[in-house]
Amino acid sequence: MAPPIKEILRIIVENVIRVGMPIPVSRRVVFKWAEGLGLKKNSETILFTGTLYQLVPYITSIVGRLESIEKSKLSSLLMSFGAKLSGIADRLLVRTPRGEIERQYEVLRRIVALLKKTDTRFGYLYEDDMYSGALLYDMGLDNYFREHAEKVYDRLKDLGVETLITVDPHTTYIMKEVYREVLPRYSLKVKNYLEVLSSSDLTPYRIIRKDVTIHDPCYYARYLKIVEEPRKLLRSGGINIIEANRVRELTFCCGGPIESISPTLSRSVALMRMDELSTSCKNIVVMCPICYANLSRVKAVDTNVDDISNYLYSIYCE
Amino acid sequence: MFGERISEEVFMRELLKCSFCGFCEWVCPTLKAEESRLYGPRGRVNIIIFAIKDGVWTDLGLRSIFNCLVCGACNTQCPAGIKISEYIRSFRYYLISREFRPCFIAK
Amino acid sequence: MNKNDVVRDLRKIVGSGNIEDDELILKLYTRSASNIDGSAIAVVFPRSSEEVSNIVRYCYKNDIKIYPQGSASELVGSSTPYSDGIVLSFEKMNKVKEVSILDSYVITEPGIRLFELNQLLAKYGYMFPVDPASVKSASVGGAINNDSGGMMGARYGTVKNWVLELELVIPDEHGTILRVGSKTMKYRGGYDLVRLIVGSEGTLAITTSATLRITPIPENIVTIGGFFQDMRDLMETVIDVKTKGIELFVMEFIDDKTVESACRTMNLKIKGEGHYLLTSIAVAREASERVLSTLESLYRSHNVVQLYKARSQEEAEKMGLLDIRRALYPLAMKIAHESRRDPRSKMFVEMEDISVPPSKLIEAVNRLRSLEASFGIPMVIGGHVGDGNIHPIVWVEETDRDKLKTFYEMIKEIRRIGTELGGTFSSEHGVGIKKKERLVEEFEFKKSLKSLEVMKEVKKIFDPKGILNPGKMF
Repeated sequence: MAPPIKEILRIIVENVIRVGMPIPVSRRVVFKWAEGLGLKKNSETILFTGTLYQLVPYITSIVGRLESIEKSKLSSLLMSFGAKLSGIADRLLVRTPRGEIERQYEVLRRIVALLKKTDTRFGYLYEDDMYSGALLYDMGLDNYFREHAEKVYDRLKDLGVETLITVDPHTTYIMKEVYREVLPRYSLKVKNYLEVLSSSDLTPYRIIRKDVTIHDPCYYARYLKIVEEPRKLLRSGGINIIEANRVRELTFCCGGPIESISPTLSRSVALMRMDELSTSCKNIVVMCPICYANLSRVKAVDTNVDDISNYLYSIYCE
Repeated sequence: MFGERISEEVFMRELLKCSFCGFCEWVCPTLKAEESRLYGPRGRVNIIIFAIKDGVWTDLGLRSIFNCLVCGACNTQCPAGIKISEYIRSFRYYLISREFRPCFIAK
Repeated sequence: MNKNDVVRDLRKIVGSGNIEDDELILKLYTRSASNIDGSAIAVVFPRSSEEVSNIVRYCYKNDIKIYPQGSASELVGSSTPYSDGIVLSFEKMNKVKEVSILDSYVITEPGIRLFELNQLLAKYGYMFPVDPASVKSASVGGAINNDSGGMMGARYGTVKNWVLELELVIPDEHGTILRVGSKTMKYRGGYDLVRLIVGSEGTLAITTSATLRITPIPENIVTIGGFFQDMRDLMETVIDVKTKGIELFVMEFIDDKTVESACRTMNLKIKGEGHYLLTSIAVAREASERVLSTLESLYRSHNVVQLYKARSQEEAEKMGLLDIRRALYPLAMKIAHESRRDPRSKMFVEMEDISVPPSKLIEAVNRLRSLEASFGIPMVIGGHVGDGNIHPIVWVEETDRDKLKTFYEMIKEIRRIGTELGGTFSSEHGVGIKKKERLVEEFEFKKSLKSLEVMKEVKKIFDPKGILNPGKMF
């Protein structure tokens, strides 16, 4: 049985064309987290979220649904009767738990608090905070990706942006490496917030004696070589890192990138990784919203999966 | 290797360096989950070779190519230095741009 | 029998997720690192000895050929499905069943990779000390059936020294399960069927479980690496070290062409010109300095040009002393591909596998070099010089029809060197399809063709219908 690959690709493309993101959520979902933080809109340096943290709770809802469809062997039926997966997606969005959405918003607020501890001055684009197109690129939808990238870049240039501070591995890689390859005139500087924090000599506000294990995201570890920065930041705050099997350059993917194409396989990969990580320590530090979502859906009750920004916030912020 | 720059010849020039040694497999998450060569880097590299060089292409090939995580673990292992995951990603584009029918290049 | 019927019947035995007959999968499972493509009607993934037994019984009854397969990383065609039959892939039988440190063994299914087995054993401070270059790929079942060796062969020999007990399925009418050997170091219960199976290339029985001996990881390992202008100096160093009665852990070399390519294309931490010789010795920590300085003076007495020393394995890895040797095959591939003319053609890169008694190493290398000159086909050499095992590597482009004939002539001559110097053409890669002819010639040279007849009779006892991995070895 062929998986409904073409159908899924079509939905991704349609959504990106329609709302600029792979999931059809309202624009407000993207920037609501920043309300009340007093971030300036006009700035040469901006925090560019790539919308991943904000979208992850919605993706998780849809993936849960896709998984049950795949299990019940409905996918071929879906294809043959021409049923629309996108219809299902729309209905699911309203059912996404508020708690999870708020949790991801909090991650972004804490990243802002951390960055404010450094000398870096930055703003935020609110309704112009955009999706990088990562999924289009991963799936080989190169022509659509190029169109999207051009739009994003033109808008950023119109707004006078020169430097991006990114917060997740996928957006960082796409904005730093891929845009440069695809758009010949591309001139934005891209820094990841962990690099910014690590080069800022922050003083810990409190020391936290805790054992953790680190799940390196593939794109940080292998493509961007952001490996020592998070370790240094955690260690200076007293955190003891117990390294798991397969870390750094050899890190083992969480399974997230295929969550929409093959949710069941994606879960099996997450389970294997969770097993490796939780044998080394029950406190697992992640640095990517996709890793967070995919590992969280298979974690045991006694295991704790948390974004690195939450640890860093406790260490470096009052 | 983005967009229209990719061609059958580009795939062959690089992927035929594969000697089928299988060193790339132990790091591949989807292979470990499925316990089948089809879902590993060596499998995917050869699926592309079979499609383009031998004209053999099936739905399972499509499934395998789109089940790749593009996590890049295999790239760290290949003795021939093939950037395996980058070619898999490009092959997705290649397939999409040819309505999922790869072009068989006869010798 | 009709192909669809076979698939339907086997599906009943293993369940629908464990058999495939998709055209693409068949192509994928009938290829190996040997460059020989075969064909098959189905790929079956058994999950237990009982399933294997049921499959074998069915195949015996219906005259269906069976090709057991591990990771297909072999180089001689021993895993190639020669003519239509089923491929039995052990990828899903990969569980370690028991580790006993007290009894120094591990019991495992055949599908696990050697590297993964050793990652597990390392937690106990132990290892299964067989490390072919393909260690990350090679499966336990494949290593047993190939009697694999590797870099530590100088000290630990090959698989045959490390298998205690095997569970086997033989291709008779019942698919009988045999259990041979014992969990003890000493065992004298009749003929040694364990060692008969080791190296039999899957032609006698199907291995479904193995009890392997394990050994503690040495307390410390010191390593010295040096570059020599003259191959003769290098080989004399080897002979000198061996005559001093020093127990080797690893002793490896690569030639100047490979060194040059390594320094040019790899991000190496050590640099040098000429031929590279690497020696590692397992020592008690206190003896490290003394052993290193003995080695150093031996290297120096044979005109070593650059010399690097590491006081521990970690230091050796950090300095990259082993990386350059590990790169022999990839470097040969790289050099070969640099000479490729047609981007759509494949390079045939043949890694030969001769062994000579170490006293004949200099002569062997001289003869190899003169073959390179007379045939005009480039060659790189390297290998496990500590045990006399050399891997000459030669290559040709698949579309270069004129050269192909010369290429195969040259390979024949390379193999002959091993035999004629009192060694062999087949050290750790096996016979498979590619070296069948040479096996006969070697026994002819030894005036012992009867040995081959005995082997063929043995094959008939295990496999009366000739359905198990046919077309290999003979």
